[in-house]
Amino acid sequence: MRGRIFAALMLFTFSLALPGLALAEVFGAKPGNQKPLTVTEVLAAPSKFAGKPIVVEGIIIDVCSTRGCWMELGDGKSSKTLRIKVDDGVIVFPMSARGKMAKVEGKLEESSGEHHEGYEHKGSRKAEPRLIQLRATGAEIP
Amino acid sequence: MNPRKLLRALHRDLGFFAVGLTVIYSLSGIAVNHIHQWNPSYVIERENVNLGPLADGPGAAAEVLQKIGDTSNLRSTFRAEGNILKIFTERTVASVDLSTGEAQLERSKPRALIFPMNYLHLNHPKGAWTWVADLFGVVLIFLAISGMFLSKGGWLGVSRRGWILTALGTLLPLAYLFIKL
Repeated sequence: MRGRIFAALMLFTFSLALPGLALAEVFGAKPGNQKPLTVTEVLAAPSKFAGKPIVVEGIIIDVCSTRGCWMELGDGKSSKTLRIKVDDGVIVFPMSARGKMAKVEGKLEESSGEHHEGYEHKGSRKAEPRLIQLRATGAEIP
Repeated sequence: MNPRKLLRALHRDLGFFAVGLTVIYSLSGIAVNHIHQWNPSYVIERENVNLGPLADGPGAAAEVLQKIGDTSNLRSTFRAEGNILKIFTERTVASVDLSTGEAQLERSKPRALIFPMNYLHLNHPKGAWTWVADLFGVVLIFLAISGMFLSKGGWLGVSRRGWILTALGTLLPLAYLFIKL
């Protein structure tokens, strides 16, 4: 009897770990299967995509080191990057993801620049630059 | 079974069960409480070096990695504004100015012990762990309330000294909220 209880407990414990064995790590909701856009395509015509759910793919250039609440995606076609933003604690991007490819789904939005490390202000503190960012619902990072 | 005896048995056994997670959550709580003074999850080392003249071409990344002695796998490269090349390996993120040879090397690694503790405490895994953490919360509430009734009575029980200490412990956060909000 005790043996069966112990075996059931072990099975339950290991089953909790099974999601961690996936090859690609998913943060939040798994992005959809539509053909992903590149960062360059999105930044070239942001008004075309504003407010609609889109999937973007790119290299993770930077990640918030404090709370993992944002990351910057780039592609090989230009030096521009797209900020991927999530609410603190809801999704946490790991610093170890830098340099990896990521597929992210979310909605494009325009917001004022926030005082995050790695984001450089240009101009006065009052005249904060407008920032195009993707409010992400999920990301997949192999 | 005598109700107080049952209460003591449950408090004792759940208390033992909760030791591990209580220590994990408490240490992580202290660490993230000071998030404005340190990075509670990562140790980040930054180093500025001059790599000398670098050729701007397809072999630039390999040349940089060879000069800094990083033999780990190259993940990707990214050409930022100007002559800045960012190189990502498993161990290092290098920002190199190809025209001057100036490079900033950044190596980050998760803090031993504290990183996995934060991972659990802040519910990074989500999914099934959310349920485990919720259950732990319920166990803590049980331990707190049952603890008030473990003593039979007298000066040490909840009806005397106990309610005074409980009231003080409850008033402290309320008073702080009253002052701050």
